[in-house]
Amino acid sequence: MSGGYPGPLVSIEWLEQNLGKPGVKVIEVDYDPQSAYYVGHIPGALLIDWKKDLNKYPERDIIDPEGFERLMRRLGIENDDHVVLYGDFNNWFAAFAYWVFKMYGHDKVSLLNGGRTKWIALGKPLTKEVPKVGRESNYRVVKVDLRYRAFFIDVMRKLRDPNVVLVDVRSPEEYRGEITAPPEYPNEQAQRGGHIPGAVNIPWKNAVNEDGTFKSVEELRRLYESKGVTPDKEIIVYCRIGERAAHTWFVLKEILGYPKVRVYDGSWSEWGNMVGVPIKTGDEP
Amino acid sequence: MSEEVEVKVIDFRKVEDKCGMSKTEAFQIYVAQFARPGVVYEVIMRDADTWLAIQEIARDMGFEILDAGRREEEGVYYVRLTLAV
Repeated sequence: MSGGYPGPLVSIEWLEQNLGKPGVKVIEVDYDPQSAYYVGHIPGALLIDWKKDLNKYPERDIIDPEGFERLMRRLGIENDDHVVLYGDFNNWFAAFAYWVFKMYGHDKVSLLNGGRTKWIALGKPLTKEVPKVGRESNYRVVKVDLRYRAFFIDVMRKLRDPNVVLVDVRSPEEYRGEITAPPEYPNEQAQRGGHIPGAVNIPWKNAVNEDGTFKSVEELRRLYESKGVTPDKEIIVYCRIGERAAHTWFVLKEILGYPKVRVYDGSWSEWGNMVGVPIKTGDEP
Repeated sequence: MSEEVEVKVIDFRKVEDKCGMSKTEAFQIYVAQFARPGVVYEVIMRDADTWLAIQEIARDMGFEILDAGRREEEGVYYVRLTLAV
Protein backbone atom coordinates (compact mmCIF):
# COMPACT_ATOMS: atom_id res chain seq x y z
CA MET A 1 0.00 0.00 0.00
CA SER A 2 1.38 3.39 -0.91
CA GLY A 3 1.47 6.24 1.55
CA GLY A 4 1.23 4.19 4.74
CA TYR A 5 -1.59 3.95 7.22
CA PRO A 6 -3.04 7.43 7.72
CA GLY A 7 -4.69 6.73 11.09
CA PRO A 8 -8.13 5.89 12.41
CA LEU A 9 -9.96 8.72 10.64
CA VAL A 10 -9.71 9.57 6.95
CA SER A 11 -11.28 12.43 5.07
CA ILE A 12 -13.29 12.23 1.89
CA GLU A 13 -10.42 13.95 0.09
CA TRP A 14 -8.01 11.26 1.29
CA LEU A 15 -10.35 8.53 0.13
CA GLU A 16 -10.77 10.09 -3.31
CA GLN A 17 -7.01 10.12 -3.72
CA ASN A 18 -6.60 6.53 -2.58
CA LEU A 19 -9.71 4.85 -3.96
CA GLY A 20 -8.78 1.77 -5.97
CA LYS A 21 -5.18 1.66 -4.80
CA PRO A 22 -3.84 -1.79 -4.02
CA GLY A 23 -4.34 -2.72 -0.39
CA VAL A 24 -7.06 -0.13 0.23
CA LYS A 25 -10.48 -1.75 0.69
CA VAL A 26 -13.59 0.30 1.22
CA ILE A 27 -16.54 -1.26 3.01
CA GLU A 28 -19.98 0.23 3.58
CA VAL A 29 -21.53 -1.00 6.83
CA ASP A 30 -25.30 -0.63 6.89
CA TYR A 31 -28.12 -1.36 9.24
CA ASP A 32 -30.46 -1.00 6.31
CA PRO A 33 -28.62 -1.83 3.06
CA GLN A 34 -31.77 -1.68 0.94
CA SER A 35 -32.12 2.03 1.54
CA ALA A 36 -28.41 2.75 1.56
CA TYR A 37 -25.85 0.50 -0.20
CA TYR A 38 -28.31 -0.67 -2.86
CA VAL A 39 -29.51 2.87 -3.51
CA GLY A 40 -25.94 3.81 -4.30
CA HIS A 41 -22.50 3.39 -2.75
CA ILE A 42 -18.94 4.58 -3.21
CA PRO A 43 -17.58 2.92 -6.37
CA GLY A 44 -15.77 -0.27 -5.45
CA ALA A 45 -17.15 -0.41 -1.91
CA LEU A 46 -18.03 -3.81 -0.50
CA LEU A 47 -20.96 -4.33 1.86
CA ILE A 48 -21.20 -5.49 5.44
CA ASP A 49 -24.82 -5.96 6.48
CA TRP A 50 -24.63 -5.24 10.21
CA LYS A 51 -27.51 -7.48 11.23
CA LYS A 52 -26.52 -10.47 9.10
CA ASP A 53 -22.75 -10.23 9.02
CA LEU A 54 -21.58 -8.88 12.37
CA ASN A 55 -24.06 -10.60 14.66
CA LYS A 56 -24.02 -14.19 15.74
CA TYR A 57 -27.12 -16.37 15.67
CA PRO A 58 -28.98 -17.81 17.48
CA GLU A 59 -27.10 -16.42 20.49
CA ARG A 60 -27.04 -12.69 21.06
CA ASP A 61 -23.41 -11.84 20.48
CA ILE A 62 -21.06 -10.38 17.93
CA ILE A 63 -19.55 -12.84 15.48
CA ASP A 64 -16.76 -14.97 16.90
CA PRO A 65 -13.20 -14.98 15.47
CA GLU A 66 -14.06 -17.80 13.07
CA GLY A 67 -17.09 -15.88 11.86
CA PHE A 68 -14.95 -12.79 11.37
CA GLU A 69 -12.44 -14.82 9.38
CA ARG A 70 -15.20 -16.19 7.16
CA LEU A 71 -16.53 -12.69 6.59
CA MET A 72 -13.11 -11.27 5.72
CA ARG A 73 -12.36 -14.19 3.39
CA ARG A 74 -15.68 -13.81 1.60
CA LEU A 75 -14.99 -10.10 1.10
CA GLY A 76 -11.47 -10.81 -0.13
CA ILE A 77 -9.87 -8.82 2.70
CA GLU A 78 -6.28 -9.75 3.55
CA ASN A 79 -4.71 -9.23 6.97
CA ASP A 80 -2.52 -6.45 5.65
CA ASP A 81 -5.25 -4.52 3.83
CA HIS A 82 -6.15 -1.04 4.96
CA VAL A 83 -9.91 -1.15 5.43
CA VAL A 84 -11.89 2.08 5.24
CA LEU A 85 -15.35 1.85 6.78
CA TYR A 86 -18.33 4.12 6.34
CA GLY A 87 -22.06 3.61 6.47
CA ASP A 88 -25.62 4.66 7.09
CA PHE A 89 -27.03 6.26 10.23
CA ASN A 90 -24.14 8.66 10.74
CA ASN A 91 -21.52 5.93 10.70
CA TRP A 92 -22.95 4.27 13.84
CA PHE A 93 -22.76 0.78 12.41
CA ALA A 94 -19.47 1.49 10.68
CA ALA A 95 -18.09 2.52 14.07
CA PHE A 96 -19.43 -0.72 15.53
CA ALA A 97 -17.68 -2.63 12.75
CA TYR A 98 -14.50 -0.65 13.42
CA TRP A 99 -14.68 -1.74 17.07
CA VAL A 100 -15.08 -5.38 15.96
CA PHE A 101 -12.12 -5.07 13.55
CA LYS A 102 -9.95 -3.75 16.38
CA MET A 103 -11.02 -6.51 18.74
CA TYR A 104 -10.06 -9.09 16.16
CA GLY A 105 -6.66 -7.53 15.70
CA HIS A 106 -7.12 -5.74 12.38
CA ASP A 107 -5.26 -2.53 13.11
CA LYS A 108 -5.15 -0.99 9.66
CA VAL A 109 -8.72 0.21 9.72
CA SER A 110 -10.15 3.72 9.40
CA LEU A 111 -13.49 5.42 9.54
CA LEU A 112 -14.49 7.81 6.77
CA ASN A 113 -15.20 11.17 8.39
CA GLY A 114 -18.76 12.18 7.55
CA GLY A 115 -19.68 8.79 6.10
CA ARG A 116 -22.45 8.38 3.55
CA THR A 117 -24.10 11.61 4.51
CA LYS A 118 -21.19 13.84 3.61
CA TRP A 119 -20.22 11.83 0.52
CA ILE A 120 -23.73 12.28 -0.87
CA ALA A 121 -24.03 15.89 0.28
CA LEU A 122 -20.86 16.75 -1.65
CA GLY A 123 -22.30 15.15 -4.77
CA LYS A 124 -19.56 12.54 -4.99
CA PRO A 125 -20.08 9.61 -7.38
CA LEU A 126 -22.28 6.70 -6.38
CA THR A 127 -22.87 3.40 -8.07
CA LYS A 128 -25.29 0.50 -7.75
CA GLU A 129 -22.74 -1.90 -9.16
CA VAL A 130 -21.72 -4.50 -6.62
CA PRO A 131 -18.00 -5.23 -6.98
CA LYS A 132 -17.02 -8.79 -7.70
CA VAL A 133 -14.61 -10.32 -5.24
CA GLY A 134 -12.12 -12.19 -7.37
CA ARG A 135 -11.21 -14.87 -4.88
CA GLU A 136 -11.58 -15.54 -1.19
CA SER A 137 -8.68 -14.33 0.91
CA ASN A 138 -6.59 -16.29 3.39
CA TYR A 139 -7.54 -14.06 6.30
CA ARG A 140 -6.57 -15.26 9.76
CA VAL A 141 -7.49 -13.74 13.11
CA VAL A 142 -4.15 -13.73 14.88
CA LYS A 143 -5.13 -11.92 18.06
CA VAL A 144 -8.28 -11.13 19.97
CA ASP A 145 -8.26 -8.03 22.12
CA LEU A 146 -11.14 -7.96 24.56
CA ARG A 147 -9.93 -4.85 26.39
CA TYR A 148 -12.42 -2.87 24.34
CA ARG A 149 -15.49 -4.78 25.43
CA ALA A 150 -17.42 -4.78 28.72
CA PHE A 151 -19.96 -7.38 29.71
CA PHE A 152 -22.84 -7.03 32.14
CA ILE A 153 -20.83 -8.48 35.01
CA ASP A 154 -18.00 -5.99 34.37
CA VAL A 155 -20.42 -3.10 34.67
CA MET A 156 -21.99 -4.51 37.83
CA ARG A 157 -18.56 -4.82 39.42
CA LYS A 158 -17.62 -1.27 38.49
CA LEU A 159 -20.75 0.42 39.78
CA ARG A 160 -19.81 3.28 42.11
CA ASP A 161 -16.09 2.75 41.46
CA PRO A 162 -14.69 6.31 41.57
CA ASN A 163 -12.12 5.43 38.91
CA VAL A 164 -14.77 4.37 36.43
CA VAL A 165 -17.11 6.61 34.46
CA LEU A 166 -20.17 5.19 32.74
CA VAL A 167 -21.28 7.15 29.70
CA ASP A 168 -24.83 6.77 28.42
CA VAL A 169 -24.89 8.07 24.84
CA ARG A 170 -28.62 7.66 24.23
CA SER A 171 -31.03 10.56 23.89
CA PRO A 172 -32.02 12.45 27.06
CA GLU A 173 -35.52 10.93 26.77
CA GLU A 174 -34.09 7.42 26.88
CA TYR A 175 -31.71 8.36 29.70
CA ARG A 176 -34.48 9.82 31.82
CA GLY A 177 -36.60 6.74 31.28
CA GLU A 178 -39.38 8.35 29.27
CA ILE A 179 -38.91 5.93 26.37
CA THR A 180 -37.12 2.61 26.08
CA ALA A 181 -37.10 2.08 22.31
CA PRO A 182 -39.15 3.19 19.32
CA PRO A 183 -42.44 1.27 19.17
CA GLU A 184 -41.45 -0.12 15.77
CA TYR A 185 -38.63 -2.06 17.43
CA PRO A 186 -40.25 -4.49 19.85
CA ASN A 187 -37.09 -6.61 19.93
CA GLU A 188 -35.14 -3.69 21.32
CA GLN A 189 -37.62 -2.81 24.04
CA ALA A 190 -36.73 -3.02 27.69
CA GLN A 191 -38.94 -3.84 30.63
CA ARG A 192 -37.71 -0.76 32.43
CA GLY A 193 -36.66 2.73 31.37
CA GLY A 194 -33.91 4.85 32.86
CA HIS A 195 -30.16 4.57 33.12
CA ILE A 196 -27.42 2.75 34.99
CA PRO A 197 -26.85 4.55 38.31
CA GLY A 198 -23.91 6.91 38.09
CA ALA A 199 -23.89 7.10 34.28
CA VAL A 200 -23.54 10.54 32.75
CA ASN A 201 -25.60 11.36 29.68
CA ILE A 202 -23.62 12.61 26.69
CA PRO A 203 -25.68 11.85 23.57
CA TRP A 204 -23.59 10.55 20.67
CA LYS A 205 -24.72 13.40 18.41
CA ASN A 206 -22.98 15.98 20.59
CA ALA A 207 -19.73 14.71 19.07
CA VAL A 208 -20.60 15.50 15.46
CA ASN A 209 -21.16 18.53 13.27
CA GLU A 210 -24.23 19.09 11.10
CA ASP A 211 -22.50 17.46 8.13
CA GLY A 212 -21.81 14.28 10.07
CA THR A 213 -18.09 14.89 10.57
CA PHE A 214 -16.59 14.76 14.02
CA LYS A 215 -16.08 17.97 15.95
CA SER A 216 -12.56 19.24 16.53
CA VAL A 217 -10.34 17.60 19.12
CA GLU A 218 -10.58 20.72 21.30
CA GLU A 219 -14.38 20.74 21.18
CA LEU A 220 -14.55 17.04 21.91
CA ARG A 221 -12.14 17.28 24.80
CA ARG A 222 -14.19 20.10 26.33
CA LEU A 223 -17.42 18.17 25.83
CA TYR A 224 -16.30 15.04 27.65
CA GLU A 225 -14.05 16.57 30.29
CA SER A 226 -16.83 18.94 31.37
CA LYS A 227 -18.82 15.85 32.36
CA GLY A 228 -15.97 14.17 34.20
CA VAL A 229 -15.02 11.87 31.34
CA THR A 230 -11.26 12.25 31.58
CA PRO A 231 -8.39 10.13 30.27
CA ASP A 232 -7.23 9.09 33.74
CA LYS A 233 -10.51 7.19 34.26
CA GLU A 234 -11.71 3.88 32.96
CA ILE A 235 -14.63 4.62 30.67
CA ILE A 236 -17.52 2.29 29.85
CA VAL A 237 -19.87 3.47 27.12
CA TYR A 238 -23.35 2.13 26.42
CA CYS A 239 -26.52 2.91 24.47
CA ARG A 240 -29.34 0.51 23.59
CA ILE A 241 -27.77 -2.16 21.39
CA GLY A 242 -24.18 -0.94 21.20
CA GLU A 243 -23.81 0.88 17.90
CA ARG A 244 -24.14 4.44 19.17
CA ALA A 245 -21.82 3.47 22.02
CA ALA A 246 -19.26 2.28 19.47
CA HIS A 247 -19.47 5.71 17.81
CA THR A 248 -18.57 7.42 21.10
CA TRP A 249 -15.96 4.74 21.84
CA PHE A 250 -14.31 5.74 18.56
CA VAL A 251 -14.27 9.39 19.64
CA LEU A 252 -12.79 8.70 23.07
CA LYS A 253 -10.34 5.96 22.10
CA GLU A 254 -9.29 6.85 18.58
CA ILE A 255 -9.70 10.61 18.33
CA LEU A 256 -8.96 11.71 21.90
CA GLY A 257 -6.62 8.81 22.66
CA TYR A 258 -8.12 7.81 26.01
CA PRO A 259 -6.32 4.64 27.10
CA LYS A 260 -9.12 2.68 28.77
CA VAL A 261 -12.43 2.78 26.97
CA ARG A 262 -14.84 -0.12 26.61
CA VAL A 263 -18.19 -0.63 24.93
CA TYR A 264 -20.88 -2.35 26.95
CA ASP A 265 -22.71 -3.68 23.92
CA GLY A 266 -25.33 -5.48 25.97
CA SER A 267 -26.37 -1.91 26.72
CA TRP A 268 -29.87 -0.94 27.75
CA SER A 269 -31.53 -3.81 25.90
CA GLU A 270 -29.73 -6.05 28.41
CA TRP A 271 -29.61 -3.91 31.55
CA GLY A 272 -33.20 -2.72 31.24
CA ASN A 273 -34.43 -6.29 31.05
CA MET A 274 -32.40 -7.81 33.88
CA VAL A 275 -34.11 -8.76 37.12
CA GLY A 276 -32.91 -7.02 40.24
CA VAL A 277 -30.35 -4.60 38.79
CA PRO A 278 -30.32 -1.00 40.03
CA ILE A 279 -31.84 1.62 37.74
CA LYS A 280 -32.09 5.36 38.03
CA THR A 281 -34.61 7.59 36.29
CA GLY A 282 -34.57 11.34 35.69
CA ASP A 283 -31.83 13.78 34.83
CA GLU A 284 -29.37 13.03 37.60
CA PRO A 285 -26.64 10.37 37.25
CA MET B 1 -57.88 29.70 -12.27
CA SER B 2 -55.69 26.80 -11.29
CA GLU B 3 -56.86 24.43 -8.61
CA GLU B 4 -55.01 24.79 -5.31
CA VAL B 5 -53.00 21.71 -4.44
CA GLU B 6 -52.82 20.68 -0.84
CA VAL B 7 -49.24 20.28 0.40
CA LYS B 8 -48.57 18.38 3.58
CA VAL B 9 -45.19 18.78 5.17
CA ILE B 10 -43.69 15.79 6.94
CA ASP B 11 -40.59 16.45 9.01
CA PHE B 12 -38.36 13.44 9.34
CA ARG B 13 -36.36 14.89 12.21
CA LYS B 14 -37.73 12.43 14.74
CA VAL B 15 -37.10 9.56 12.37
CA GLU B 16 -33.51 10.64 11.81
CA ASP B 17 -32.98 10.79 15.56
CA LYS B 18 -34.27 7.29 16.11
CA CYS B 19 -31.71 4.64 16.68
CA GLY B 20 -31.43 2.37 13.70
CA MET B 21 -34.91 2.90 12.30
CA SER B 22 -35.19 1.54 8.78
CA LYS B 23 -35.91 4.33 6.31
CA THR B 24 -38.28 2.09 4.40
CA GLU B 25 -40.32 1.44 7.53
CA ALA B 26 -40.19 5.10 8.42
CA PHE B 27 -41.52 6.08 5.00
CA GLN B 28 -44.24 3.46 5.28
CA ILE B 29 -45.28 4.61 8.74
CA TYR B 30 -45.07 8.37 8.32
CA VAL B 31 -45.96 8.87 4.67
CA ALA B 32 -47.21 5.92 2.64
CA GLN B 33 -49.94 4.63 4.93
CA PHE B 34 -51.63 8.05 5.11
CA ALA B 35 -51.01 9.17 1.54
CA ARG B 36 -54.03 10.13 -0.53
CA PRO B 37 -54.20 10.76 -4.29
CA GLY B 38 -54.04 14.42 -5.25
CA VAL B 39 -52.16 15.47 -2.15
CA VAL B 40 -48.58 16.65 -2.45
CA TYR B 41 -46.30 15.68 0.39
CA GLU B 42 -43.10 17.48 1.19
CA VAL B 43 -40.78 15.33 3.24
CA ILE B 44 -38.03 17.34 4.85
CA MET B 45 -34.87 16.01 6.44
CA ARG B 46 -31.42 17.11 7.41
CA ASP B 47 -29.12 14.53 5.99
CA ALA B 48 -28.31 13.76 2.39
CA ASP B 49 -28.27 10.01 2.95
CA THR B 50 -31.92 9.96 4.02
CA TRP B 51 -32.80 12.38 1.22
CA LEU B 52 -31.39 10.09 -1.44
CA ALA B 53 -32.94 6.98 0.09
CA ILE B 54 -36.41 8.50 0.39
CA GLN B 55 -36.50 9.27 -3.34
CA GLU B 56 -35.72 5.66 -4.20
CA ILE B 57 -38.11 4.23 -1.62
CA ALA B 58 -40.91 6.55 -2.72
CA ARG B 59 -40.57 5.53 -6.36
CA ASP B 60 -40.60 1.88 -5.35
CA MET B 61 -43.81 2.47 -3.39
CA GLY B 62 -45.61 4.06 -6.29
CA PHE B 63 -45.01 7.75 -5.68
CA GLU B 64 -44.03 10.31 -8.25
CA ILE B 65 -41.17 12.61 -7.30
CA LEU B 66 -42.15 16.17 -8.18
CA ASP B 67 -39.06 17.90 -6.91
CA ALA B 68 -36.11 17.21 -4.66
CA GLY B 69 -33.37 19.47 -3.46
CA ARG B 70 -31.83 21.41 -0.63
CA ARG B 71 -32.92 24.69 0.96
CA GLU B 72 -29.65 26.11 2.20
CA GLU B 73 -31.25 28.88 4.22
CA GLU B 74 -33.22 26.36 6.29
CA GLY B 75 -30.49 23.74 6.33
CA VAL B 76 -32.89 21.06 5.07
CA TYR B 77 -33.24 18.66 2.19
CA TYR B 78 -36.71 18.14 0.76
CA VAL B 79 -38.55 15.71 -1.47
CA ARG B 80 -41.91 16.71 -2.92
CA LEU B 81 -43.94 13.74 -3.98
CA THR B 82 -47.42 12.54 -4.71
CA LEU B 83 -49.07 9.20 -5.29
CA ALA B 84 -48.63 8.28 -8.93
CA VAL B 85 -51.95 7.75 -10.65
